[in-house]
Amino acid sequence: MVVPTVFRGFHRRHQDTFTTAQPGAAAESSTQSGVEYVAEVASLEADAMRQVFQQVLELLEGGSIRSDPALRRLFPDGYRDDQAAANELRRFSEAALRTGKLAACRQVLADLPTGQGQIRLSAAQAQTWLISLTDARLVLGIRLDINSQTDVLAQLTEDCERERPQQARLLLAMYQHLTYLQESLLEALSHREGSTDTGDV
Amino acid sequence: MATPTSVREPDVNEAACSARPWATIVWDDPVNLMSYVTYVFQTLFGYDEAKATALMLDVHRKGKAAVSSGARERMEHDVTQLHAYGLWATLQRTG
Repeated sequence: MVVPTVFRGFHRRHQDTFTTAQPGAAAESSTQSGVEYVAEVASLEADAMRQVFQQVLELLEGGSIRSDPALRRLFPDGYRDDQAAANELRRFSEAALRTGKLAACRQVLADLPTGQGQIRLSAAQAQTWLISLTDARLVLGIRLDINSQTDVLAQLTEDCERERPQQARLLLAMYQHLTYLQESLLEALSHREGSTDTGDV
Repeated sequence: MATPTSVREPDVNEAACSARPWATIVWDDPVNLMSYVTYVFQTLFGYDEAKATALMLDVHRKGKAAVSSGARERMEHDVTQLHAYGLWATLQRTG
C-alpha cells in the first residue's frame, strides 16, 4: 500500500520519565514546563521532511511573491478590495513576516534528526513547528492544487493504482504525512496538565 | 501551551458600532486543519476554547468569520499576526 504506516506522530512526555540518570544533566536541561513533545522518525522520513523544509526555506529566501503562487498564499493581501492599501500594508509587514517564517523553518531543519531518531520539542519549539508545518503544507497544497474537494487519501491510492509519476506521489504522501504530524502535535499540546479553565463569569 | 500574545475581548456582534470601525476576517482555505485554526484563535486572541471553536466552525461552514474588530491599525496588526500563523485573513470596514 502507498499510505505509510510507520508514522506514529507526536506524543507528550514528562521529561523525568525518560531523562537518563545523570544528575547534572537533568538540572541543566530542565524546562519551565517539564514536558516535551516527542516523535520517532525513520531515516527515510527524516530525509523526506528535510527536503520539503529545505525547499520551503529556499522559497522563503529567494522566491518572488509576484511570480510564485505559493508565496502569495504565505503572504496574502491584507485587503481584499483595495490593492493600494494591501500594498502599503505589505510594505510594512512583509519583511518581518518573512523573517519569522524563515526562522521557524530553520528551527525545524535544526530539530530534525539526521537519519533515524527522535524529534524532541519544548512547548515553545512545538509552537514554532506548528507554524512551519503550516507553511510547508500551504506550499505543498499550492503545488498539488489541493482544494476543498480533494480527498488526499483516496488520491494517494488512485495515484498508486494508476502508477502516476513517483515525484507527484511523494509530494502528496509528504503532504499527508505533515498533516498527520501537525494533527498529532496539536492533539499532544491540547492535553495540558490540570487544564482547569479559569473561566470567571 | 503558548502564552497569548494579546488578550482582548472584542465583541464581534458590535462590530458595526463606530468604536469598532474595522474587522479582521478569516477566510476558509482547503489546507489548514480545524484543530489548528481553533488553536490559533485561542493563542492569538486569548479566546476560550468554546469561542475559538465557534469562530472556527463559522469559517469552515460559512466560508469566513469576523474574529476581531477595532481600530484600523489594530486590525492590520491582527491580520499580520494571522498571516504569520498561515491563516488567510483580511481587514475591512464594518460599516
